[in-house]
Amino acid sequence: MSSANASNAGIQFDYANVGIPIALGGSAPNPDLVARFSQIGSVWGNTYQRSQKEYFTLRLPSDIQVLDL
Amino acid sequence: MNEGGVYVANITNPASPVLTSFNLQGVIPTNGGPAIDLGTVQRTGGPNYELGATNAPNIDFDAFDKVGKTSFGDAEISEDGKTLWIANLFQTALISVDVSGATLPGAVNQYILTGLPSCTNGVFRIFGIKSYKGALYVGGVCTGENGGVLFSTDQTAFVLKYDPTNIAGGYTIALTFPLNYTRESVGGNGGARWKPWSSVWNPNFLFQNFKYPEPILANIEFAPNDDMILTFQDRHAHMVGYRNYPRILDYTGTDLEEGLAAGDIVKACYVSGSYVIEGDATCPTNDPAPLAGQSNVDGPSNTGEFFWGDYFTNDGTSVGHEEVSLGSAIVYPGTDQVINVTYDPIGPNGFQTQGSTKI
Repeated sequence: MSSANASNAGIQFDYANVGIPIALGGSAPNPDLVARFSQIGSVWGNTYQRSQKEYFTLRLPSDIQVLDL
Repeated sequence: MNEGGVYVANITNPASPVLTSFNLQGVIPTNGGPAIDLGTVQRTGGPNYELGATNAPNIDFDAFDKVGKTSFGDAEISEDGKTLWIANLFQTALISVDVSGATLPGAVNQYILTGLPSCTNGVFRIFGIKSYKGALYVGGVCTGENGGVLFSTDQTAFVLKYDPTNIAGGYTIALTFPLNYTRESVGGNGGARWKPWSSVWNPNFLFQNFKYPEPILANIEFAPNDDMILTFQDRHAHMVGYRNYPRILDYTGTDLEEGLAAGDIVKACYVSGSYVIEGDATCPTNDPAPLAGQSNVDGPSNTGEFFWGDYFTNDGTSVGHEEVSLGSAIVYPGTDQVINVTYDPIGPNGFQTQGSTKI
């Protein structure tokens, strides 16, 4: 299934955050957006370069998502 | 971009990350050898292959069996921050990219891995990478994809230890253990024991709730005491996707399938210079199995799990899904916890959500 273009594909959040984000009706801080699906599609393989604050992520071979029933 | 796409988000200003990218498909490595080949996925030729409109279900026939065999696996920044390591699943190779300069990519090298562990009725396939204390660790599994015997040692996990300055010099085996151990339930009636990698759609699993866990050793982390934390990804959930058509040529029906993932998170203890899988006397498990439906005779040694908290509960007294790990984890600095990427991390009413679980 193709991904929803406006949805978040890459996010960042504080280690200490716990609970459901405010945007989803909870009280935890919302994660910060790194990139949307329209920009990077479906990705896996993430890593972070601390000194230059650069986040690297790799293109997935298919536009798939994994959720449950 | 296609299968070779690498995206880079500079988050110096978190409110507005600057996104760039580069493509490694076809790049001639600076250190010689064949061009980087990450394989391809057919996305033309009609509805069997084309993705169609955004959010519309599709068959995506060619991608099905290429999960875990094509394109990239894990990514890892070296400890000095200068090198991006990437697993090339198609050529079973490690790619290094110099990311120390202002222009990306810098020099690109590739090391095709040779002399890998031999597998019975299967293929050794890599995915996870970790740079730690001067070594480069690579995770892989014997897949059992060529007629592997169910619940046998045909499926075995390995963590290989390389010298990143001499990949061609080979590896030592840091850890290996069979994947024929008892696991909990995916949810409903779905047992989560690992199964041989499959290339075909199983018609017995039509009508949603598709479960057939296939192991990918996706991520390797280390605790401050050098213990190793491995996370496994369920290949088959990626193959099925979420509310997609069955992978049947020329399918014209309306059934929508949902891949139900069952990964895992496993610990190996660093004992006298070697790694010992959890469940040994020197690496005890810690599994109270507090909820109805949980097991404490599961895990790699069938003595319960060290990380038993990878579950979802809707009512607080029984488990709805177990083995909800999606194949990625990170050690929470300054604590004795791991943050494990999971689905349905919070109940009640947390179905069809994604997030993370502190374990």
